[in-house]
Amino acid sequence: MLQYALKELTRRKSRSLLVIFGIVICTALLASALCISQAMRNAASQPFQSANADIIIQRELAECPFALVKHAGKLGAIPEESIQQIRELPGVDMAAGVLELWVTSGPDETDRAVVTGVDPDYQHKLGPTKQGEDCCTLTDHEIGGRYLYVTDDHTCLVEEPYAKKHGLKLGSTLLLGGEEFTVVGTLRAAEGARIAAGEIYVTLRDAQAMLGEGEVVNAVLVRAENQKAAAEIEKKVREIVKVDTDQGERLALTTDSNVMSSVAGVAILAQSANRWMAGLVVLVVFLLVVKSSLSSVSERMREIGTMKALGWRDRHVARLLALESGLVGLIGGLIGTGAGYGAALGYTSSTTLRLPALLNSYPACAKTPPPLDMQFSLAGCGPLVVGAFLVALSIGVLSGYLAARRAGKLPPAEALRRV
Amino acid sequence: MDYHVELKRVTRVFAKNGEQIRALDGVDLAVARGSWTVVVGLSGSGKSTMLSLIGGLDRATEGEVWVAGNDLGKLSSDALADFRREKVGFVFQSFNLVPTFTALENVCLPFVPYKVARAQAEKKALEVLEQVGMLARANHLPGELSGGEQQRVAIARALVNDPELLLADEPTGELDTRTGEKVLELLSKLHRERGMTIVMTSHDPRIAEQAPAVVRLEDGRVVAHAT
Ligand SMILES: Nc1ncnc2c1ncn2[C@@H]1O[C@H](COP(=O)(O)OP(=O)(O)OP(=O)(O)O)[C@@H](O)[C@H]1O
Ligand SMILES: [Mg+2]
Repeated sequence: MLQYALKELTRRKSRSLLVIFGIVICTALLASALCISQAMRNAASQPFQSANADIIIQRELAECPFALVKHAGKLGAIPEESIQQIRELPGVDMAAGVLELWVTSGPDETDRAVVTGVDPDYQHKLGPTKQGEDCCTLTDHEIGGRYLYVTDDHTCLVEEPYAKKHGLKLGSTLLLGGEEFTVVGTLRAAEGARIAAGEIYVTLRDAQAMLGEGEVVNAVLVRAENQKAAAEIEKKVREIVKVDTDQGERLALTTDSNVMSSVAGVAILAQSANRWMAGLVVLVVFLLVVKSSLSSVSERMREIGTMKALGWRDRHVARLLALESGLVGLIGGLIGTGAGYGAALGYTSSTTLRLPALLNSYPACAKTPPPLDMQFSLAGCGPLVVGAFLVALSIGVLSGYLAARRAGKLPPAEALRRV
Repeated sequence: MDYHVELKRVTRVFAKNGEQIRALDGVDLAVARGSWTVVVGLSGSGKSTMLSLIGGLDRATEGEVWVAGNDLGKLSSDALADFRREKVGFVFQSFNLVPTFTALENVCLPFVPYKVARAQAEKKALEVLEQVGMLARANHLPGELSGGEQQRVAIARALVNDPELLLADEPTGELDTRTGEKVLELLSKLHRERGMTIVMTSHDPRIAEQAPAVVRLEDGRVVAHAT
């Protein structure tokens, strides 16, 4: 039977190839569209996972004031008491503020460093220094390296590349904004973008003292209890954190679902267009394949009649036709998903997306590489590829079923009369 | 007497565009086991329709079709398929070979949907190909064979299930006179050797002259039945 089906397909080579080609195109489109958007979602959620946060709350200023010690980039101050108010919102699991600063450094105060003030109570579980495989580990833990203590005064954690660059070790001192800080630990970070990451971390108190604007932060990281709660929190936060829109200020609430639109607006648009196109192509190809299978039945009336005259039951004839279309779907699906996955792989490995400047703004003169690249990964793409394959297969099987039903029902004498 | 094929008041009506065509109109017919009957008549007189009914490819509108003790009207479509596979061989005017299959593969066609070992099927197929004198061409495609040779392969295919009844609808219709005669000679040899019942149709008056039994149809009615 299988041999028969294959022979039949090769007999109508150009048609089979055309139909297979159609299925290949539609599955490839579908598979790549699904995989690329999955990769984008992965890339978008990676920095949030790394920080263990769902929402980042920041105040974006219109101007970028200059000072020896200043808020990083265009960030503006948010009073620390807002954090407590946010913590009391329903659905908030935890919330912590960080103060990301650009600070002069080095003995002559000619260098600049990105210094992030972190809350010692939250540094392990939320934010740029979160402890864990996907974020940070202490490299000098065995020889006494440690995180910051609430009681610390002028201590700091340094990121490994910065430490290497400046030859810093446990106990070394460095000048930040003219004051001396002692290194108590060195952090090694996982690859990928990290929100509010700096080169150096100090306690929130020390950072606030350096800045001299009182008890303020410039980013609040919020961990919500669940996805639904996150949406509610976003609404309420607008009442807590006030911005002066007349001055061109803006409240920036970033989540993994909106982070992409600010860095990859066009790509997202292309994505949804791509998805629509894939859907449309699937439909068109389905109709094409159905049409082709059905006309194959009318072209082969006589053959079908002969088969029945030779003692084939109706369902045997139906099986043959279903098998033929199924094979077309199988072959087209295999090639198509392969091609689609390949395309997705090519796209994701050749494209880089950077974290929006607000979430991590290293100065242009930064000497150690800022952790900005969001990590594309095709994790979770497997089931989608299988899904696209199943779509191709069901196009084949469904059209085969329709053709088979028609052929099965054909009265043999009637079929034999057709030329 | 035990007839192999018996039609009792068989009528077959086709409805076409609201018009009713009585392709067969109250036909009575009895065919003895092991006989050779030729059905003649003008085009449209109902010859093919009669053969289809006898072979279980079609169902009578009225009346009964009995073949080898089976009332075909009472069989399900699967049972009819089994009946054709076990008891009947068909030969068509235009051979109806699958063009991508070799002669051997075409002859094996009836076995395809059933679990018959390939070697066994091929052995049987080669046997009948030898009987029709086509063993040497077993691996040729229909396109590489002449019309007469194709019809021989088709006859081999009709014989591969050892039918007791062979139905041939104008088997010489697409062949020139000499080739047609050769095919008839082959059929008559097989008829002698296998003792099977043959019912065939023909336009050709000379074939009717030589036939042991002739049924003449006119507008769906039997007008003469000579033995
Ligand atoms: N499926 C059908 N639908 C409608 N009319 C049919 C059908 N089958 C046969 N007929 C009609 O029944 C009549 C008998 O047809 P049949 O094919 O039996 O004639 P025939 O004697 O075999 O003719 P020919 O010598 O041309 O083969 C014709 O008028 C034909 O048009
Ligand atoms: Mg006819």
